[in-house]
Amino acid sequence: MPVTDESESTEDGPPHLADVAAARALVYSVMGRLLVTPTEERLSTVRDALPSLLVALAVAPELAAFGASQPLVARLEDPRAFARSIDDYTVLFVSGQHPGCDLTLSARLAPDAGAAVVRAASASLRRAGLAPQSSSTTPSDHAATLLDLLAHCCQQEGSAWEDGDVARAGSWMRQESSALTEHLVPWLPGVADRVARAAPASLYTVVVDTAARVCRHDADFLAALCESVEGAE
Amino acid sequence: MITTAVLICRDLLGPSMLDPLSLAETLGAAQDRVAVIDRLCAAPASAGRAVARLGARRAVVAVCDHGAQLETLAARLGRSGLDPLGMEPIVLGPVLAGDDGVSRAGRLVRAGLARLDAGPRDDPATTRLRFADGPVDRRALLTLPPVRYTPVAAVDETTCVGTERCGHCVTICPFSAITTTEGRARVERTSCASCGLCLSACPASAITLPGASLAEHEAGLLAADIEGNALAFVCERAAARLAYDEIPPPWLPIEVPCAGMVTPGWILQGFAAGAGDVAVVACGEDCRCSAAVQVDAAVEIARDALALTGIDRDRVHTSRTDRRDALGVFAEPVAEAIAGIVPGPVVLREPLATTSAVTAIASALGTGSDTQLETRRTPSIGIVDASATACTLCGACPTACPTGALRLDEDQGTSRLEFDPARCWACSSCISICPESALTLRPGIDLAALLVGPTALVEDTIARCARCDAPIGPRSMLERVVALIDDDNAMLRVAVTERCVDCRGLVGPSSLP
Repeated sequence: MPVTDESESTEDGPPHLADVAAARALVYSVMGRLLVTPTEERLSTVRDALPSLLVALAVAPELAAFGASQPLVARLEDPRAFARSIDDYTVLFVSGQHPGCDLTLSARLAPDAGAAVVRAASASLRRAGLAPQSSSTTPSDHAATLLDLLAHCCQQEGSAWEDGDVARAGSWMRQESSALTEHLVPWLPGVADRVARAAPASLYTVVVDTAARVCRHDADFLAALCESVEGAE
Repeated sequence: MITTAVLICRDLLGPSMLDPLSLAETLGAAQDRVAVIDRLCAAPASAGRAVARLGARRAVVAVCDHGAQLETLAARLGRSGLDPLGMEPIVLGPVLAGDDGVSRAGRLVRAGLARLDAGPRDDPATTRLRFADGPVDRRALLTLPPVRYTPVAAVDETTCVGTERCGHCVTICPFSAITTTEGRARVERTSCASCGLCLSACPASAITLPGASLAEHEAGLLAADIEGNALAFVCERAAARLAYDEIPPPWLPIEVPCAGMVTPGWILQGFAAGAGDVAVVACGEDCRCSAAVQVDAAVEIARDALALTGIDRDRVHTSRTDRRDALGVFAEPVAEAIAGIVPGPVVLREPLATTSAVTAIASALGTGSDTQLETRRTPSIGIVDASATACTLCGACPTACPTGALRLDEDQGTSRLEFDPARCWACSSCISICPESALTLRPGIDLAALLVGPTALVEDTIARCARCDAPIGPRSMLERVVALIDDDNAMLRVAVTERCVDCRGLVGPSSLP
């Protein structure tokens, strides 16, 4: 039985909200990058971002969203993490063999309802100052596009915190919150379940499950933080 | 990788208290998960480092007394990567000071480990975040406020049988936190007070609450090795008012969010697991859940059920007024375990918890097979009977039964309505749905029926198509349909009684006898 004999030491102080926002931006960015069609270049970018991701998650490990990212980090640290990822992505998300695994909500809805979903997601992108893409592989309501939107909003929020501009930070957080609760939280957990059933050993099972968990925990975090910020504004 | 660690305050070690070797022995295979931390009760930073070094996501934290800074410790461990609700604190100081202290401490730690391993503590659906120190402001230099997570109940939609068939959780929630949406139970996260009453009210085990889920308690009770001891279900508010040295051996305290979640079956399962006595200690008249009625009902039904098997009903104790009342319970002498009982798996899901425990006790004693207990107080167990002349085996009741106590079995040309008394929850759903008013429900425990097990209530042969020999339906159902057809509509009568769905359209005048 290990017996530690450590004298009490001091801990770092609480993290600055700018650092927390930057860390969240990186988490969303990595997950977004993993959910677009994989290429060697994109996968290499993710591999290169791993050390920064580890540092980012250590900024506020008490946040459940960061804890929920650990299984993905552990998987990415495996040298064989990306083996078969291009094939898996094609089978799961492109081939149509697993219709419930679509990464766009509109793909599973009736044409009219699907168009409304895309319009709402495009509106969220425009509000954040981003241009909706016309690409058929990553439309506005594609999980990767929305995760990129969140990464962008988190970056802007981080800048606002750095400037000490609570009102501006609050405004960006509300956009993040709305992107999560309107676009991702309602359907991503269902996709995660279906991907897990379709390909339990695939990297994408971990990616989509992590994305679903992070989004739900982060929505909870943002709701509490927005409420706090409203009190301070 | 170690997922669950045991952190022990070094102040618990000493010649008259705990020594690492004896603790290691009592923990068995779990000893490589243990770290002893200097001044753990004061929430040192080294606790966080130990968790990080072990790579643990959950931890049993053994502290000296209730003065430990558990909230600060939880925050520090959280910053080291622990799951949001991954800390299970156990106050060991007073336990170790008592007789048989090391062995009891080992049981409590093992139970804590088993609870942590049995249920997820990082599910977004069952955690709620709050900031401990108020809003973000400039004085705090725009830093992240201390984060706290609290558990909330969540309904698994795939397991929930729906509020039309059940709805017990909606009815029992004292905070109106469970509502019905499109026939499904939904927990309003901001209203949930984590009391756990809905968990034990759910016959489908569809509700989870980190730290209090049935699976976690079942694992904890099994690991605690109750045999030869006495079991006390203690409400967490009552536990906070009691020093643990006031709960002397052989009593083993099991903390629950509210004593109202303890059902008759939980108490009886304690006896089936080898406890000599079982107590339910509630927080008192200021109970936030107003659970006194549930506690009294559970205790009385458990006492009646014990008496049914010939066991002294006074082996079940209750306290629901104040601290002194609770201490009175623990001062009473404790009986030996029920003779002949062989502890098996612990089941806390009603009605199986009650029925399986009663059956186990009665079987051990070899008594009581001709006795029945009418439970008017809380009719949570029942016996369904069916009139063989009225029942048409239409199959409506099995679809309405939320626990699977009624089942329609069809094989070898026979249709059979089976009833399992161990699963009947006496909810009356079958009575309400039966179109022939053929069913009756008798609330209560029928020991003879339980010992017999599942039985066929009604049985009939299945009519077959005169043209293709495919099954049509039970003869009694066809006769009921024929009774509704005009006497002069012979073709329709033939179509219904002698033809399957596919061949019915082929009935013409030539088909008539």
